[in-house]
Amino acid sequence: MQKLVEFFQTAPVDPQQAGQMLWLIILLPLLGAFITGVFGKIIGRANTHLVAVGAVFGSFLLSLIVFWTINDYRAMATTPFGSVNYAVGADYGTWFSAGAFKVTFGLFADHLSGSMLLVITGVGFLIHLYSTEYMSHDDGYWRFFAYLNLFVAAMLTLVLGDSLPLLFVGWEGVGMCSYLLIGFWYTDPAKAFAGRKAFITNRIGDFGFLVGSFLMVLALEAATKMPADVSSKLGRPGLEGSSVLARLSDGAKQKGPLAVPVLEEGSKVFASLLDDTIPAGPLEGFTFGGVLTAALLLFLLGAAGKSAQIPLYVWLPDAMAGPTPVSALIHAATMVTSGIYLFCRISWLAVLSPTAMATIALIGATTALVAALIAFSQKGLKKVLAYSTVSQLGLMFLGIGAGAFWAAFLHVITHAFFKACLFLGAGSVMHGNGEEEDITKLGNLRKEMPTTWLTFLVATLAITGIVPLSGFFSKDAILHAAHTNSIPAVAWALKTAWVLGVVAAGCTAFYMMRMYFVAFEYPRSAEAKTPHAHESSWHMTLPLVVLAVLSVVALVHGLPIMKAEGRGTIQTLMENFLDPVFRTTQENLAKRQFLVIPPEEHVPWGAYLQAWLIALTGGGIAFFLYMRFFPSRKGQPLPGPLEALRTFSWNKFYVDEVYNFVIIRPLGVVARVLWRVVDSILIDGVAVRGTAWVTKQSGSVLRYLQTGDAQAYAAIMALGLAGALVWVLQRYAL
Amino acid sequence: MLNTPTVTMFDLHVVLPAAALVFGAIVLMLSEVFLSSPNRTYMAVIALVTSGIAGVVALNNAFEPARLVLQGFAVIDPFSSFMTVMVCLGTGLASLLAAGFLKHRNAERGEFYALMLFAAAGMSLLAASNEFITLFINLEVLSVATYALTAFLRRGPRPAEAGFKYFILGAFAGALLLYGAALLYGATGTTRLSDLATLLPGAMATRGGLVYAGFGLVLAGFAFKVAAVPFHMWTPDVYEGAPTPVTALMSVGVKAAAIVAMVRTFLALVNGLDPQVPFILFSLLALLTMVGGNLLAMPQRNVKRMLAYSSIAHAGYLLLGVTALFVPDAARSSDAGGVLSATPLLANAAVNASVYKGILFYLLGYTVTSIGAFGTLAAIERREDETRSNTWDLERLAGLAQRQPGWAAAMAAFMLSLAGVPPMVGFLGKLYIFSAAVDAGLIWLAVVGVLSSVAGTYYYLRVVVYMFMRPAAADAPATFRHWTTEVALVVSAVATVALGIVPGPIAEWLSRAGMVFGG
Repeated sequence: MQKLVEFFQTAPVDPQQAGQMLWLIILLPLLGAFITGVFGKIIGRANTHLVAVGAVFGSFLLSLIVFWTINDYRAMATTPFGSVNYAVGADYGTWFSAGAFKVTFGLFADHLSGSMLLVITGVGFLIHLYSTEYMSHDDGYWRFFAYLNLFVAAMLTLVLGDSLPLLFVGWEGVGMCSYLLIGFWYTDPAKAFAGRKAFITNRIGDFGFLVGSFLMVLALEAATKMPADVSSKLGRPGLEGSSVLARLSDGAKQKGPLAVPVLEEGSKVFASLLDDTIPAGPLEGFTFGGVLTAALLLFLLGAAGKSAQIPLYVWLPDAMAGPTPVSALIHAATMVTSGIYLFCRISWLAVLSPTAMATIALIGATTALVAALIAFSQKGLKKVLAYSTVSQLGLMFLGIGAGAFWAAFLHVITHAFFKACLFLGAGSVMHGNGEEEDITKLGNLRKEMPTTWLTFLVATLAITGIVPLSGFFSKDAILHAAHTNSIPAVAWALKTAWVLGVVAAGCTAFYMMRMYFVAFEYPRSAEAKTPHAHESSWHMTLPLVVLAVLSVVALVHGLPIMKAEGRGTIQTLMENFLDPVFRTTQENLAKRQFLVIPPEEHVPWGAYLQAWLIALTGGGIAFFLYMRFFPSRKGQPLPGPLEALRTFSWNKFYVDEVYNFVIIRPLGVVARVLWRVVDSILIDGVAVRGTAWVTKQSGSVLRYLQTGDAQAYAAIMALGLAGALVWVLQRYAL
Repeated sequence: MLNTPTVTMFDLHVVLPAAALVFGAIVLMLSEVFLSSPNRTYMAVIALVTSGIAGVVALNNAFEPARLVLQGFAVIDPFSSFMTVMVCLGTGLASLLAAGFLKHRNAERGEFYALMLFAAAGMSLLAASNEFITLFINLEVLSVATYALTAFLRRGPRPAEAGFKYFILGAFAGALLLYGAALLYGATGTTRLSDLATLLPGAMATRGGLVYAGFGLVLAGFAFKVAAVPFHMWTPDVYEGAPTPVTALMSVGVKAAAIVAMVRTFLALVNGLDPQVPFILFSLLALLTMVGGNLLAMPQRNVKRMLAYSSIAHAGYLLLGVTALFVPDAARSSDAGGVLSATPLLANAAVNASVYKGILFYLLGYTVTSIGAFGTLAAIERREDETRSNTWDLERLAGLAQRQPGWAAAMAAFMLSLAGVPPMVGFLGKLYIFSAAVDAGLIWLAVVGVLSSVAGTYYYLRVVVYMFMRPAAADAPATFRHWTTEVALVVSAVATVALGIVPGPIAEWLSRAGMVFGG
């Protein structure tokens, strides 16, 4: 055992070199995107598949090496504030600068981004492989693979970037690819519209992200300019208080204020300054705590856009218009988790604002419940999965808000496995049933598509949280943290969030089992498009099997088998693994005590039992209703109130309609007025056309001088010269 | 005893590029006599290789320190050497364009390329001249060669008319320049620019009128060559009448050489003069040229004529850079007011360095872009249309994106670059020039420049609109393709985009200290 551990902790390559080659991981899919996008049509389908799948597989291999490296105790990334253990990174110089502000192009992989690397490239590879079969009848295959590769490159930039601007490049890149892929079949107006909806909703979030970043720049600058008398508060073990601000300022000059290490160092400074008022500058009069809370809430808005949380979740269900592999990769496994990744990345800032933490927890829990309730009545296979994704993302946000960053991140990983498996399973079902996705028109799939059935069942059990599948451990860890941790300033928030979360977890079990029973266990529907379904080929089932296996074995991360260093308590494998990432978070927590995390002394059997019971109850009700109750009452309508509830849920609580009425319509009216009056008449008519008319007329008048007569030309030259000479000589003479 | 000047090998570096060009020209003329192969593309290749060699030699010169050579009759400095590199680049590309163009018209003759190389030799030496007689002779070398090239295709009345107009007006302007030089000689007793610089302050006391008159006349002579308004009238007629590859060479080479010679001459001539005089004259020229060129280009439907006016506008931007060199010190505040006033933001030396960089980079960008734009025109124009008036009408470009997507994409890049849209090289050139002008305090003049270039976008984008959004005419003829043309277009297009994205080491070379001797 010791030998094995040693083997995995000794990287095959020099960590320094591994850091230098991080850009290759991004380059490969980018190159793939270029080749498939530009030459895909020429080189043919098979070569396109080879290039696209090969590029992601190459990235995966490199990611494996990097992951191996960051488990090496020698791996060390240098930052302006010393080095970080268990991480590799490289700085490729200044990307852009404006005055004192600068952004460096640096990549960085630690245990957090390293795990994301494996998920993105690993699951990405499987989904690419799956797509080769799924898109085999589509003429736009080269466009599809170009977008998909581009997406992988952008997502990798998002997780590898060591500064918020670089992260934002990836953030926007994945948003753009998502838009392109949702609207992949753009000839269908509804699908093109879904793409647009996703894009616009995301823009709202991006606005929050950007403003939040600007606030952080201002806050950091204000901190470095604080008067010297605050330095007594800033001392840390091994660091004089007086030198802290200078160190921060130097680091910000060297790496740019938005670099992750600089922000991390900044968070340690903020931790001591939260109640201080900023004496001068644009933020004059605000406290650091207030600014930080505002920035975090803006980041939350950004994360809500990308990760489909209330109030910006409405785009994700519509995003299912895209091809199913896209839903699996982008709208389940990777892109939508970037909000959680962002908050894990800046967790040291998040724990400094109890308001922000409580808001995150409440938003997450509410989203989880609302989405789960909507999922109750949806009939589309992918629609249910989409709402289930929204709901699961909500649970992850609950984990973030409860301070269980590792649990939220663990759920990101396990969710990536089982939700990708579910989506791909759904794609396989649709592929084998004439593109039918209404669950009431399927049925008997257990017999017809055995591989798909088995993998779908495993993934369903995983998401419902049945012991011992991986989803159980991650979801339980989140709910357990929401239960035991507390935010003393707003104690009610986490308690409420916990209740909502538990109900949402129960609902998850219900709607997932409902979907499973109706689609797989019911007899073959009379309305099915094909009398029999056909099982998909190995390109599609292999990824299913791998993902199903992964959603089982990922459970090891959730086992409480590690000993927490120095605290004498137990830890799960994942918590232990992510410990280096959240070290500053722990320090800030210890310093301000905004969030109380009681140490875990024993394996929480009680919590496990509780979570298990919730899952079993939800699943049990679904079994009773759909396998016993409804079949026995075939033909009879539902009682009135229940039917009303069902309609309410089926119409997604009319959220789209409310948004349409409250935001989109008024905006449309204002826009029309601006267009008709300001734009058409004032700008187009007077300013643009008027200027153009005057300019063009003067050009036409000047043209009459151009007679084509050489004598006239010479005369004009002579006149010009004479004018100049007269002016000069007269000036000289005077 | 013979009064032999002492000339060392070291002095001869300055003439090496020109010598290479002349040698190539002689080889071409001899080959015309001794080789009678029907396929004469090799001539273009010889011209290309010759200008390549000359370019490399000139590039080598560009890293030598600036100094007087040939007893002060010439200088060798990075400014003129870089200019020579660009002229060689332009000549090489233009001869590639000419190969296909002439073959299509059955007019491939050795003397065509020889004349091009002679013109290039004249340009190279003109940029290095430091004495009025040398300067005049080199100006005539390049001018006579271009007169002949303009009228090279003698089909229809237009080439002859263009050549003759160019010759008459060119001779007129040459006479003005010579007259100005004579007056300055009369005032100071020297024709050497470096001596003029020291003698002029003294001469001003006694013979100021003579100096001012000479100054004005020389300026008029140069203004003709760079096609500054109101000395620009010949440009559209000549540019339109000349064979398109020759127009391409004229628009880049003649202009570049004249601008460089102008900068060198006036850096010497302003000594001792009232600083307001050169400043106001140059700003007026720049203002009129920028605005006039763009306004005149706007109503043109004839793309070749439009490009001719556009080249006037671009000369205006270059003159804006030149004006920045002659901004009076802040202490002597301007008395003109309005657009023609300036309050320098930076010290002169810093401004000058950025002006030189701006001018050279602008010329480089304009070289590849303009050659490409005229090259595309040359590629699509039909021999049968030569005598008609609608040869270069916008309609001829309609639907080019369907017929020749590669050419259309390249032409779009050239148009965007001429309009100054990032990431094309034209944007960076404008940026350098305008920022140098702003640093020199020419804020209002720079604003006028930017506004007029915005107006210019109209006619550049109209070309793009025609190529991409109008259907091709039903009787659109098949285009005549020749590999040399394609190579030239590809090189120009790639350079237009690449230099705009990665100005890289080139911009750094151009911003070294000591660019201009004595500058």
